[in-house]
Amino acid sequence: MTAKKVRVGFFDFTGCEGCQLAKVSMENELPQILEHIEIVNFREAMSEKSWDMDVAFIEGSITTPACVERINRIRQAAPILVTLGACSTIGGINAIRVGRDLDEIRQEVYGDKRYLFPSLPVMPVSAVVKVDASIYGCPPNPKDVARFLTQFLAGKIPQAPKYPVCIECKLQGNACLLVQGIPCMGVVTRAGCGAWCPSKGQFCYGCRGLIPDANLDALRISFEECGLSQQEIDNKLHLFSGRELEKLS
Amino acid sequence: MVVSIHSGYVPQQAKIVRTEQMTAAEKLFELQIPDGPLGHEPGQFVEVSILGVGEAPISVSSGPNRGPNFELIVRKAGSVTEAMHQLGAGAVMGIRGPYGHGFPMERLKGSDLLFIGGGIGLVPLRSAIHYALDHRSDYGRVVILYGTKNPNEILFRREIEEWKQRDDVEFFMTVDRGSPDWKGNVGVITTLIPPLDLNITNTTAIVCGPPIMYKFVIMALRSKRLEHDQIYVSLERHMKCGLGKCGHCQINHLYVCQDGPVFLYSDIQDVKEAL
Amino acid sequence: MKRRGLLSQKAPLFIRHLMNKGQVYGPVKNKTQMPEFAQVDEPSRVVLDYTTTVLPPKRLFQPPEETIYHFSRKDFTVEPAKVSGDGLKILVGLHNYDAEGIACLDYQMARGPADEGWAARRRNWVFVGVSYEPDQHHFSPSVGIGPDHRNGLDLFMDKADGGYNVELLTERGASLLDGFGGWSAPLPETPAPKFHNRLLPMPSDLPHILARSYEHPIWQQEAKRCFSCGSCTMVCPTCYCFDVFDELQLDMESGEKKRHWDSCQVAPFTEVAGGEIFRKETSSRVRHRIYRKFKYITDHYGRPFCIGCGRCIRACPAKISISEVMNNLARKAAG
Ligand SMILES: Cc1cc2nc3c(=O)[nH]c(=O)nc-3n(C[C@H](O)[C@H](O)[C@H](O)COP(=O)(O)OP(=O)(O)OC[C@H]3O[C@@H](n4cnc5c(N)ncnc54)[C@H](O)[C@@H]3O)c2cc1C
Ligand code: SF4
Ligand code: SF4
Ligand code: SF4
Ligand code: SF4
Ligand code: SF4
Ligand code: FES
Repeated sequence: MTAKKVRVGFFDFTGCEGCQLAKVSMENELPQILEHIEIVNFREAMSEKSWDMDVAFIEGSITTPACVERINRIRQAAPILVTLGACSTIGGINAIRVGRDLDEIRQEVYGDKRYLFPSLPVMPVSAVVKVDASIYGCPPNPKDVARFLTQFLAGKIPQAPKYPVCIECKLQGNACLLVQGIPCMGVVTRAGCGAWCPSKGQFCYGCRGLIPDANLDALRISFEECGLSQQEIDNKLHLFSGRELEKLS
Repeated sequence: MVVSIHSGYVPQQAKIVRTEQMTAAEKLFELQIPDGPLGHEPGQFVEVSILGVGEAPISVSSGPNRGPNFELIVRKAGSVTEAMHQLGAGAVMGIRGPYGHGFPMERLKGSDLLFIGGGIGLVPLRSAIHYALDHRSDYGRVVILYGTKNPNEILFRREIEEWKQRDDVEFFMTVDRGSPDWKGNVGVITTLIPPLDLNITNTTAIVCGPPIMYKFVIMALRSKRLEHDQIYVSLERHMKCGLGKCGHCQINHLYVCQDGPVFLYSDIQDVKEAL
Repeated sequence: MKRRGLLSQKAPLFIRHLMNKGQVYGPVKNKTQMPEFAQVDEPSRVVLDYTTTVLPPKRLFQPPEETIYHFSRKDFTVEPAKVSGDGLKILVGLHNYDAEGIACLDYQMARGPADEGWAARRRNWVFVGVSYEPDQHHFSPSVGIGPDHRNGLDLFMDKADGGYNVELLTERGASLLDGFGGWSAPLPETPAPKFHNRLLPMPSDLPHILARSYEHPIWQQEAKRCFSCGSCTMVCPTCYCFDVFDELQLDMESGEKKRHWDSCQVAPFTEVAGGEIFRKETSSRVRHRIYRKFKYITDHYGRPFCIGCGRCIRACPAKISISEVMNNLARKAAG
């Protein structure tokens, strides 16, 4: 199709930078993708009015007042705002900080200069501005990203599945790890990755965040049966979903 | 030898002949298929597909005797319906169906008909209303009750004016919340029922609206002494196939896409998940 | 009934013989060393002595994910998917309950508009059964599928001392044996297998028990541990629900309409635009599955729509057991 290319801006916040399109092992698809989208770069000094883009992809989570200000500016300029990766979508692995004393973390991260960097609790982008769609995962799964892009370019605001990884795990015919006493988070984790980890024999560590109404009480019982301590269970739950858990409580 | 499978899922091309924006969220599509007419019963639905986006079940809103084309009225509710809204005259969408059991218009001959439509629920009722008006002498009274949330959501304004003009149609409507220039009734649709003077033994009610509406409408009809087997309802459920296979539309043991969407209330009053 | 002895070491030869007669499918070891129903390329990879598979043989007739049609958005062309209808296909190593599971779906898929994919893929099969040693979850005899059950099978390899006694059940089955010379005299029989799980009620009582258990607190008790993960239905040989979706290629023109298995146990299964979920409570979904197995379909099928394979119990991370639920309901109804 020779329709006008979609102008896309990429914006980095606090994260591991593992999410950028080129790094999500999509080198092969990239040329085809670039037939439909044009990646535009903005100098942030410019006023947002001259940021001419159709979509903003946001990577990384919101951690400082400066981040808040910047994401607000991007939101104003972008008709559609998409979060890319666990950090911007669910607060991501950054959210390990949730529930820990902020000062303590600042000490760890910034040493004596910590008072120069006022930090907020780690937030997903959706805690600050309206998010139109999200690409989940840490890192996002290439197939899922391709699906997102095609649906998006076809005029659909793609929705991630609301069912758990187990559905995809069973489509692959895997025997369940959790049943075998291996603490797999797939039962409470949003699908869309094609059960990436369990299909390789590794438990799901929950990188796509919780499904709505995840039965966490049941998860605690099952993980106890796997021999995990309360502390270990908490750690597992907080690895990616600390922010979501906070919202629940 | 290779055999083709799943021909039941293959859509035919329907050309958009005309569109009309009815409200901010609802758009009418007049469609033409190569071997038209569609051959539907009032109350049946089609699966509309936008290739690359998906499918959605949509009621056929026009009567079967209204020429070779048919009409859909689509509310913008998500991806497929939004993609449909972007299409204009000349564009093509996929259609398969019609599916399901519609209103038994043949069997209702001789009856007084009481149509009760809430919001977009008037859309499937309209095909039965068309049918009754196109075979007007076959039926007794035609009473239409219509309620919407507010005046902005009123569908079929021109047609409603025609219904109001006819002396063989009794039309009443209400809105949940009025607006400064709204002169008509304000209140939920059930408030239109008590004042009606019905010939109870010979009336059939045909009801379609949002899920919460049914319980209250049926209570109001019961207090008018209408029996359960004098009430038809049309139900909405998640649907994926329309063929009684994908399971999404089940209510207990029933499949809405095949056994419904139109049910006689007495047949489902004990079906726990129905209403 | 005619029987012929087959020594264990001759079994691969027998399968090799069958491979000359048609395409052979059976439980073969997958990448995780688990038996999985798939086409056999090498007789030694067939596992005849297995407890059960994760996914039922249904996957051969309705793949977990399949294309419905190919389309092009440019000129609105639609090309239905195709399957090969040629040649004889032989499924070896089928447990007798799994043959009944296929029969259940033959019934369901032909109701109303028939499922063409199922019908096309189900043509020209010969089923070769094999006996099995039940684990703690099988309860097939309780739904009328005891060790001697042979419905739907053409040949049966009954485990015996040192090998199998191959039973010739149909002419189609018997004709497959032409030209195979590896037989021995019938082997000494081994004792009938012991089952460790069972349903307390008679099969015919199951719908009646459910008829009066709709509001029973058991559904909420089970829901406390249920993850709504869907595994129980994804592995069930008599489940058939699926989701339909579009997949577009990156050229933004060509794509496929596809379907994959879906589950009534996940919350979004009944969700409609606007957010209403018709089966919102976990307890209502737990109940729905069990009613589907022992009441709703049973009422017109005339038999339980569960074959007692125990797959749903083995797959459940919450240890929810359909047999235990039914037994608890039966006990409460009785006492
Ligand atoms: C028998 C029947 C008749 C209908 N008639 C009309 C009509 O005349 N006009 C109209 O505007 N709407 C009608 N609807 C509702 C319409 O089907 C949904 O609004 C539409 O499916 C939403 O799809 P979407 O992709 O735009 O929304 P999304 O939110 O993007 O997707 C919703 C998802 O739910 C699925 N879904 C399946 N069935 C339904 C359902 N019943 N309601 C909502 N989602 C559903 C869709 O396939 C899709 O996967 C009818 C529904 C049924 C069951
Ligand atoms: S292994 Fe994990 S993802 Fe797979 S079924 Fe078990 S809990 Fe679910
Ligand atoms: S299996 Fe779990 S951890 Fe692995 S990619 Fe999927 S959601 Fe992430
Ligand atoms: S497998 Fe178990 S936990 Fe998962 S939905 Fe079924 S009953 Fe619930
Ligand atoms: S319900 Fe469970 S035991 Fe019964 S057939 Fe299905 S998987 Fe097997
Ligand atoms: S409704 Fe549930 S129990 Fe019935 S076939 Fe579908 S997934 Fe299985
Ligand atoms: S819509 Fe698929 S079974 Fe009714």
